[in-house]
Amino acid sequence: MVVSNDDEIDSSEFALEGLESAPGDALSELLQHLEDYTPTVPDAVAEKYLHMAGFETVDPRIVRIIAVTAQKFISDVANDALQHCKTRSNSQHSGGHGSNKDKKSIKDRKYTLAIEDLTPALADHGITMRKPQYFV
Amino acid sequence: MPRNLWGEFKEDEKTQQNELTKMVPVSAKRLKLSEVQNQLPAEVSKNVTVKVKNPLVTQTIEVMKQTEMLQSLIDTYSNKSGTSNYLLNPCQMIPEVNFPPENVANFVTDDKFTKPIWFVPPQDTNFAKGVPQHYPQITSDICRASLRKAVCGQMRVAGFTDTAESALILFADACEEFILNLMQTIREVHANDQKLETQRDIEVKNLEKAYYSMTNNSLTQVHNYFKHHLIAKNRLEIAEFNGVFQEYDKLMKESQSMQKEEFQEGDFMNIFEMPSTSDGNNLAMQDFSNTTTGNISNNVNIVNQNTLINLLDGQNQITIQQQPQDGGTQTTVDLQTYTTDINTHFQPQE
Repeated sequence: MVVSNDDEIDSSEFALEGLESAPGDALSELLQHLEDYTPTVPDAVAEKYLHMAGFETVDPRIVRIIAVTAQKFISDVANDALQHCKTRSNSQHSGGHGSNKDKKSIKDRKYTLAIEDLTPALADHGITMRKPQYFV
Repeated sequence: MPRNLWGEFKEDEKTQQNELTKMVPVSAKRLKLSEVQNQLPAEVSKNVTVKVKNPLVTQTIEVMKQTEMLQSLIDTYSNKSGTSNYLLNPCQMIPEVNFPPENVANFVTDDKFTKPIWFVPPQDTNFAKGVPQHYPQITSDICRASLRKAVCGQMRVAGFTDTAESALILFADACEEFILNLMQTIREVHANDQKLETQRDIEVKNLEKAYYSMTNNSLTQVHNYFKHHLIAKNRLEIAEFNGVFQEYDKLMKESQSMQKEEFQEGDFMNIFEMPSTSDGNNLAMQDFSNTTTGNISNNVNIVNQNTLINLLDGQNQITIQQQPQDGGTQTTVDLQTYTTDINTHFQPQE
């Protein structure tokens, strides 16, 4: 912190420090409450991948937060894939005969995850998947 | 002349080393081998259980299944008319399904996720302090299997009912790729700093930098994900289940009440038999003479003036059972003359 005679500069620098420490405070608060966030991905799996990368993490909170971020990734991709699936099925039904029965069963319709739905969802999250053109 | 060798061992050291390297006769080895064979080492099997279970996700999936089951029962045994459901067949009772109330128990206390995170005091546990915990050593195959199971659970919560096997494997591999990319990004963050380059421990600020560079989001979004996606979906499914369960309970009670009412055969046959009274407008059995046919007297059971007229709607002729004094046969009377006779008979009594 630079000490100067100008009071306005001091107050703005203090304000900047407050802003910079806010995300850090939020993160530290999150770490203290991580015990309540039970992830679907086990902590042992996250610890295994940390070990494979050469890390020897002792803090269980770091392991837990990595597991929770993996679960969030899965959930985001699944929701995006479901939107793609619904769009595809709606376009198929509207392009077809379109009877009253189809309209009634929108809620009861079954959604199957297919590669066609998953590929664009993964691409939005930075993972590109390409199928080979043919097998030799 | 004795030679002085460089590095020669002293006698004390020689005897110790000779004891260690001395030859053991084969006969002694046989004794040892027989002892070892008699006392075989006990097999130690190490089983490690890796739990892939999230109470919220599991409960959400179970509640969704129960809601579907109840809805299918309602659709099978009832018909929707307007906003209410009516039983299709009153004689057929709806099968009773019992769901324990613990299935929709609230796993999350309201304080944790409704109030801002800094309002809730942290619990003083080993986990909150960062005390190291023991994790079981697992192989890569088990990691992939765990990821597949986690992916299936999350897909079911999202709304998928089925999945192609290739899509499931792809999804699990993509999740593994995401975690490996995150590790690589953390390594890049460490590599940018000379002090951190050889550090094997991860600090939360470096993890935040790596996650932000990958996803352009903060790690604090995890809290929002839990609150606005996972818990909200759980509450929504429980509310939907409660609504469907109330509807099912109403139909079940209606079905049970219908089954309790006992119908007798005579009730159907005697429905038109009414007790005789002096009031002509009520149910009465009356005899009156038909003046149009002359000397023939007719005995007609009259239920009600209005009822009889309604019954005669659409009929032009009516067969009257008569007891002729002459011993004649049944005759048919024209409707108009018959109704005029009824009106003339009932009018004085009204």
